[in-house]
Amino acid sequence: MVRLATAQSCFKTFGIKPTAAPWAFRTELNELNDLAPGGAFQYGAVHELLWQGRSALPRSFALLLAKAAQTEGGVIVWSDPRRELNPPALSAAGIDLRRLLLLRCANRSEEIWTLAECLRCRGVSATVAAVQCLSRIEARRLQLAAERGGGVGLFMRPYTPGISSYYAAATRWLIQPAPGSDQVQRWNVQLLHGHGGQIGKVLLLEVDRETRALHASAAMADRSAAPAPARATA
Amino acid sequence: MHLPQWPIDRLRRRRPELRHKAFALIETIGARQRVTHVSPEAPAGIFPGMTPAEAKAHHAGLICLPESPADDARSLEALGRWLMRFSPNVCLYPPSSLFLDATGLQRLFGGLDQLRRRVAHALAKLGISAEIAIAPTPGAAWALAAFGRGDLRIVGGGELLDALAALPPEAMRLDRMTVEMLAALGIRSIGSLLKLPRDDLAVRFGRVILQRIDQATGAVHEPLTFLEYHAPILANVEFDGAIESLQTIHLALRQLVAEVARQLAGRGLGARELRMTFRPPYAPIVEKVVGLARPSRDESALFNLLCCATEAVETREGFIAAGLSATRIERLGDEQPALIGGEEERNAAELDHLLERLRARLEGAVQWAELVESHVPEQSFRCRENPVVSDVRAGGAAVFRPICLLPAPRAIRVIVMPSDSRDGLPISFTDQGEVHRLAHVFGPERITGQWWNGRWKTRDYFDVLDAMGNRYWLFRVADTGRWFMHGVFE
Repeated sequence: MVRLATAQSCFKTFGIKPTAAPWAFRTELNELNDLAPGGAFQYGAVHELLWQGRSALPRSFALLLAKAAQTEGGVIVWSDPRRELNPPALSAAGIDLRRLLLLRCANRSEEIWTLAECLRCRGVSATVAAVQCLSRIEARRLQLAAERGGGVGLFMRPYTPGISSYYAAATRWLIQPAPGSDQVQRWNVQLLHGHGGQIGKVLLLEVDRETRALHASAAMADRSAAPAPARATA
Repeated sequence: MHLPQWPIDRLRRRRPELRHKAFALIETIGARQRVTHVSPEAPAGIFPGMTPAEAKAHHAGLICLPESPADDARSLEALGRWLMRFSPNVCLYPPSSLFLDATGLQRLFGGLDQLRRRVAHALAKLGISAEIAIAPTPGAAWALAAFGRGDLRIVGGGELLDALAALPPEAMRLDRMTVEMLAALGIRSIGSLLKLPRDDLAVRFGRVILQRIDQATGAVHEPLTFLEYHAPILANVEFDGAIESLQTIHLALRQLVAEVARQLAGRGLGARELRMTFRPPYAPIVEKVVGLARPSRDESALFNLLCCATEAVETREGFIAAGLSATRIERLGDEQPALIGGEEERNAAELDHLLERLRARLEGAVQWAELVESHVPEQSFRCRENPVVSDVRAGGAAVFRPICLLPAPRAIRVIVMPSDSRDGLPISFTDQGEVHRLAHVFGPERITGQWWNGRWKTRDYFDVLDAMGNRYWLFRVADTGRWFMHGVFE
């Protein structure tokens, strides 16, 4: 008996390009989804997570997206050349370590090659990496690889207003730490780029340490601290 | 060729510490144990059929080991393949005999006697005791090898009946009941057995006995199933001169892969491991072994994999020859078309291919993390190069831990609140020339070192929040009062 091929393989076979809507994932935070274009994060694309100046890498935000993007049977690849990732923290956040690959590449060119290979693979749901800078060709190659593989590329990179060059990415987010309290850690999350998304709107993301609960709300104050919304030029 | 002590010899080759030791092999059927084979060093009182307790009563130092007929059979096949150097046709006759077709080998080895001597010598070097006889029929050869006298081992067609006549009826490969019945009738040799009328024999003992007699005397042809010769799967190419460019090597590699894939397809096999060899003109051969997660003979997939592996091969003067061989092969059915079949299976297969490629090109760069029960943060996980199967929940999983943990804690300068003892809370710290003024400090959380492993240092961890909103994990070593940064809550 011949089983009917799934829709996605038909798309591939007959050259139909999948539309954005079904091939997207949502996080557990509806407020965050609403910021993104079409109310969801697109598969087969690169999403950039920027951090500014001296603040720390947005690893928790990357973890949030990677966890949401992980499909059944898919793995998460996390490039961690400096061995800074703490697997127990990921495990506590609900990541199955058996389906988490850690990449420890010796140099940058190897890392870029490996990232492209991982993005191109259909078995990889999300590829997370911190990239300092990319050439336009490298960025384009990674974007094409993500389109071929159907997974998500989550690239963390530093952001300096005016200087940062733009690469091919479906969305670009700026994550900045915000003053927290004893049990709550806060970040300001802003969508900088994404066609059809609520660009410029700032969201306050909170993690409660006791319950590990995530909470998002519209940022009330301190709008001036966030940079002016960047124009989409990519 | 009969190997009287095959299980013993096999085990000794596998485990050299058993040489010159008295040991016995034990067969276990249900709850009953029985000695099946005894090494020649054991005292004469021990023989097959005893229980291990009886055998140990004879010789207290006797080593008892479980027998393993499956391993014996596998090793017998390996020995048979090894013996193909003497004769192209080798047939296994389990449990412990082999037939070699010696037809036409006299000229190659300078006579049958020479052949027999050389095989015996080779086996003796391997430490395998063997009785070898050469006769016109397999049945007679086996009878002479297993039961014949030392001097009469090569028998021509004319002397066959005379040679067999003196042997006991067991040499006819008869079952135990028949042999016992013949012994009860007073028939102790094949000579007397052959004198009995044929028709009566068939009536009394069944047709098998006639068939065995005819097979031994050559009246009936006995078909043997010879081992199939597996030609190694390999392809080689030699260049006119030294080749340096990667493109040319890839071009040659593509040809080699096509040839290997063709050979694999012809035999319905897939490669699990490929070995590439490159020969430079004045240096030792460069070798590269690539393993695959599942058997494959897909030309383009293999080629891509090998290309990844060749990029790590270094050369100074180029190569004058290249070779490719499949060192591990497995049976592989015809591949299913890509359109049919589940999405997830295909994704899993693709993931396997990805891992193969990454492993071929970057050694040790792909790792899995595994949790370990430990309170010390840097020891609460372990990275391994093969997939983790266990799913240990760490004891400290309930406590919030930073997502970024520095592999080596970084020394920092800290200003603490004035206090009499050295346990004041930090006010600000300087890390890599950058001053962080702390808005909130939470702690301390005391983590004691593993004193049973010689790590005595106790750390007091502080979860601190600077004015920017960044959150760090600092600790102070309780004994020395020195401060370190260990992680960032990112």
